[in-house]
Amino acid sequence: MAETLTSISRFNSDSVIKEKRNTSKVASLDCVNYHYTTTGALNKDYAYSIELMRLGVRQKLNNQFHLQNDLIEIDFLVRNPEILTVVFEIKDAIIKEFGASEIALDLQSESVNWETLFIVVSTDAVWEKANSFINLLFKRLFKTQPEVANKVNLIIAPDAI
Amino acid sequence: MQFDPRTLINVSRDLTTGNSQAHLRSIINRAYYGVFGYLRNELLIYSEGSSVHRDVYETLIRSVSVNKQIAGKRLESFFVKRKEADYKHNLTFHSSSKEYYIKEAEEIIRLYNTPDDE
Repeated sequence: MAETLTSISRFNSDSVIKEKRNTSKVASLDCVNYHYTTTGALNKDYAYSIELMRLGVRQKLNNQFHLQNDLIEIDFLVRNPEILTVVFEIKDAIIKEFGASEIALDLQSESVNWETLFIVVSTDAVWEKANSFINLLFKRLFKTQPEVANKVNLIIAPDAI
Repeated sequence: MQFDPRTLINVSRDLTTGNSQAHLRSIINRAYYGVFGYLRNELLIYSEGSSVHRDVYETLIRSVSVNKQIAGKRLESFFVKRKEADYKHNLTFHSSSKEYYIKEAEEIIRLYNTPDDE
């Protein structure tokens, strides 16, 4: 993902703009509207760069998660691309442990300095099973990727969503 | 004698005799404040503003103990559930989850009090 985002940021967006303007998906997104309301070339490039990064994250997520607030979670992952890989690893572990479950991403922002991306699992699993899973997951995460552990969390509960 | 916030978890358990949404939401609220109040006292955090929840959480995840860090993450999840129980009136809480939150509160306290090598 990091490689994709780097190549996006280096990309000359003008060629993409011409190409993407003809596609309804991109033309309907917020940042493109932002472009049409501004005249500065810098703003145009910035808006398209952000939009391309959003598209990159959205493509990577590939509809495998329900997004509670859509753009809020996408933008958090644009700002924190290192989390994307971990989110998929956690999802795979959840499916392996609890079977097919509905999994959502929900960014909780209590203040500027307290933002956490919650992976929310709807399951009828008993507390004991969820308990050992959460403890093992964070034990590994804090030892291997403490910065990521600080930014993600997990809710496994019978009435999760 | 100083009040022990952990007794709020006992109140939460008493509430499991009821099945109304008010009971279920109160179970989550009392269980959360039982564990939160206990940890706040243990960590000698005396602030009372809305940031006190964050203060307790951040102190825990900055700990050198992995068990305390995990306790912090679980407290953070519990904080989100408690807010939902208190403020999101469009949600329905299921009676099957009554014991879940009481066990969660007890587990967070156990993690906090357990050295990493155990």
